Amino acid sequence: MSVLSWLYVAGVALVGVPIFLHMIRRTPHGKVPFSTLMFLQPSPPRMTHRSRIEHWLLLLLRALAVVLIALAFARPYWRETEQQTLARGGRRVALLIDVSASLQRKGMWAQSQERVTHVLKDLGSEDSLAVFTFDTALASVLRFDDWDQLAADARRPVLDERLKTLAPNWKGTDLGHALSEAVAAVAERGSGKQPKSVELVVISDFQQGGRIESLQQFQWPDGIVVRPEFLKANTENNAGLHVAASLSREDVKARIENSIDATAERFAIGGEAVGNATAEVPSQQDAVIPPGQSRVLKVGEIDSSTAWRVTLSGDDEPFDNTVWVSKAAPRRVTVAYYGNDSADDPKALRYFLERAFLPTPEREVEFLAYAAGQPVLAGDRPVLVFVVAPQESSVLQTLGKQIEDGLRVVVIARDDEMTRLAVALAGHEPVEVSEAKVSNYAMLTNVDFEHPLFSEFSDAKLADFTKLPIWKHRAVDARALKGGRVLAQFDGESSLPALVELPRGSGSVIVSLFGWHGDDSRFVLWSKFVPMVNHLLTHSLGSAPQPRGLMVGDRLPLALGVKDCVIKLPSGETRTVAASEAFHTTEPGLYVVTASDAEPSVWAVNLDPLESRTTPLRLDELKSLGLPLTDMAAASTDEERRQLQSRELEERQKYWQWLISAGIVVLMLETWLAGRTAYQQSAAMQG
Amino acid sequence: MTQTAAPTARYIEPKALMRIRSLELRVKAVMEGFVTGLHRSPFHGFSVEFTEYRQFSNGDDPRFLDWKVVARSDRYYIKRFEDETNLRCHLLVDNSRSMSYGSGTFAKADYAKTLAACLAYSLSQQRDAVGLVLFDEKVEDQLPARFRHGHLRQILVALERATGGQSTNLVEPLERVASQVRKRGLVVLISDLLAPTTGLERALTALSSCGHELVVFQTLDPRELDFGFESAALFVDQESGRELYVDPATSRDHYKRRLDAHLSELRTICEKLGAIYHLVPTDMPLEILLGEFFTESQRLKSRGRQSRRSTGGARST
Repeated sequence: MSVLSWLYVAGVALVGVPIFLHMIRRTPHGKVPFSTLMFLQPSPPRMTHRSRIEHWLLLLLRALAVVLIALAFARPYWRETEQQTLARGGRRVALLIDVSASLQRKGMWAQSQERVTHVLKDLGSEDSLAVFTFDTALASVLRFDDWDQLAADARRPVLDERLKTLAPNWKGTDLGHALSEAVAAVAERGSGKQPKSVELVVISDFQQGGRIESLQQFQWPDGIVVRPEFLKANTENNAGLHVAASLSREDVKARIENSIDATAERFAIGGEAVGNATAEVPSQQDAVIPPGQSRVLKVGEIDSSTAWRVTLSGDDEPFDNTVWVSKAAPRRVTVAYYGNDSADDPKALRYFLERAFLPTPEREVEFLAYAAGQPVLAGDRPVLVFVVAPQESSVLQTLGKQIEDGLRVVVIARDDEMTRLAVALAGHEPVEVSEAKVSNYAMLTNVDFEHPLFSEFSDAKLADFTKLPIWKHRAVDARALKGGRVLAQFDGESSLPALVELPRGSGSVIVSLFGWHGDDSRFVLWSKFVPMVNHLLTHSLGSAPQPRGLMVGDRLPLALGVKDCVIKLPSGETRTVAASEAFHTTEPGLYVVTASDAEPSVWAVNLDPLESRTTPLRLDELKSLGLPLTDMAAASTDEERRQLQSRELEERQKYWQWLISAGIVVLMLETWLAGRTAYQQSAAMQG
Repeated sequence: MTQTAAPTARYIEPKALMRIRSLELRVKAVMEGFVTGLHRSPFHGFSVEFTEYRQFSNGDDPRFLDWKVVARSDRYYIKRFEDETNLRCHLLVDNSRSMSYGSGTFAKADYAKTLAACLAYSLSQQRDAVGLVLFDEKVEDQLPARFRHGHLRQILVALERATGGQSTNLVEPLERVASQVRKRGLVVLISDLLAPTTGLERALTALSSCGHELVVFQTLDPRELDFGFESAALFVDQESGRELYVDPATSRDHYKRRLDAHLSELRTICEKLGAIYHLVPTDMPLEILLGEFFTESQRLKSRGRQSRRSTGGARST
């Protein structure tokens, strides 16, 4: 047994007070006022005959009350034995290890491993452990179930084996996402055992660029506590170098960000051209940047055949001091249009679609229109296809094959026949189609904002679909479209589908059950039309638009339908990537992508700029985000940790409540007994 | 001629007397029947006892010229009479905190005030001038010796108003009276005199040397005289607040010895100075005390008159 406040144990000494009062002489009863003491002399104190204790029981009760109350104030607790820990079923500890790029700093990973060892050392035999790593995503190393299924003596070797493979990578950090994912992963119940509280031990540098803000809205389930283990950097100065956006395609600008707690202010940037010795190189520049501020410098002008490596010098941490710049030529993509409209007819859909796809730095769109009966060119590999008129079966077969390979086709069904065509194109069973009876007009509702067609408008400010009246549309039972994803519905009681995506192979067919122009609706004149189709195209290209350039972890934008694609990694290795296979970058540098029938393209992949914000968050900032931190979070030394553990133990056991209750009971007994004794004495005297 | 009041056999017990809250009523209760025939009738005029003739000289008041002698002998003589009624009496009443002690239902101060009031009343009735000095460690209130309408009432009010003071310091008030009252008169000191006697002798000597007649009433509670406490207790000095654990069983003899020594010392001082000393336990009926006092004062007066006649001297008015 141990106590939290040893000082209060000294209060037990007060037990002597009742004994002392019991034994000592009685002081004179009261005071007698007298006119003068000038003739009086002090009398020696007269001792009472209390050489022995008269009321043993009373004295014992009083002493017991004092002891109980003193012990309650001392807040005793039992150090739990192995058996008791067993009875509680052990703890559940989820270990989250930061492996983001900021851990590439000097000594950080070694420190992280040391903390991991420390956490593992604290584990009891009945404790359950899960280990995760996180950067921009959470990855499981060991699950609770795995741990529980392993034999007790096999756990550590297996875990050590897995931990050995861990190393910091070059990705950014999304701590908020990692924590919420980890909570979802550990909140599930253990195998057959009662659900228990889980302690999330997060070993991280808790950098300000860790994207933890998303946790503000997170609802923490009961029983989850977070214990942050802060890794401290050995160096003070860290400045980050990143590519800044520029208006011109040729201008290359770099942003230098100095950390808030830095002491260095003078930096220099320089660079070199990679792979082309004769190309123009970035200019050498010096910059003075006070702590916590950033500055954008123009590095130079780059042409499309060159790649640059720009470096920063002047700070202590080199991990974020290099950026790669390449100016890849815009990608040529083809959008096919199957319809019989004239290019100059403003009443036709083609007129609007052809003008909707504007060139961007990343891509140039070639719009190919095929009239009915016109053969499809073998070399054309469209990314997106619009079908607005009935086609011959050969065309449909070709399209069907391409859909199987990943093509996305949009069919605008202005009549029942086109609806059936769309369903057939998707390889779906025929469905019953009819012309819907629309009173006045219909509107789009129940929009699926997770689909790329609408994801741009998920913000509440943009999610207004009431300004698109649809006067005519087709009615198809959504239940008949098995496997189809309803992207939007018409309003009304029957909730008929308005836009449906039907998957086929790697691709899909998006069926619009209303016309986009003419009598059906004014969809093409709607303000959302152009961004909607452009976003659909970008998504069909296989990558989201990257105005910031490619970051480590992003998917390389490979051309669709390319069968053999050879990627040369920054490390010099080469990888062959099959068609429609995604390739995610793993390190910063230049990736050279060589397709079988196209020119090699060079992609510069850089660090997440937020990784340079290495200033650690404070504990109170974590608290303000609503993290359910344990008390242990505030402890920095082993002694403080031990004290906090003791306090936790005491708060759980709460023996003081029992002691206080017992003390009160004893005092009540004492009062009763004292009253009874006094009454008996007075009765005896009177008698 | 003066008549001594015959003490009646039935006195009012001080305990019963002090139940009367009003000091004036208390005085009247005591004095009723006591004063009858005690002094000369005030209606006999200014004075009847002829002393001598003296030749008129410049500065004398012509009112006192004996016109019959002027008519008869054509000489200017002043007729002088014995000063009987214009006795100046100063009542010095101790109002220190020690006077607030009382083992019974009343304090020594109540008794002392009643005694002073009775004296003032009685003397006023005799057309004597009465003054009052209330003191503790300093003079609290002072009324000059006068005989005029309402003065007695002022004295009674002052006595009644007086609240308990601090410690007893006899020297300063007595010296102050000695310095202020130049005319010879009667000084009555009413106090418990529970203070060191060293300064007291000096102050009383100063008064006596000014020609004042001195009467000392030492009022003490019966409990102060016999120390009749039974159980041991913490005794608290009312003046200083000092506490002392005293067991009466063991301390009583010592207390009495020291008190007796103090009282005899006081008595010796008074005898030496020709002062009349009265030890007054507060359970003594006031009538007895007043009877003794007036008897004594008449004796003193007549003795003084005889001595003056025999020496041919006269007290100036």
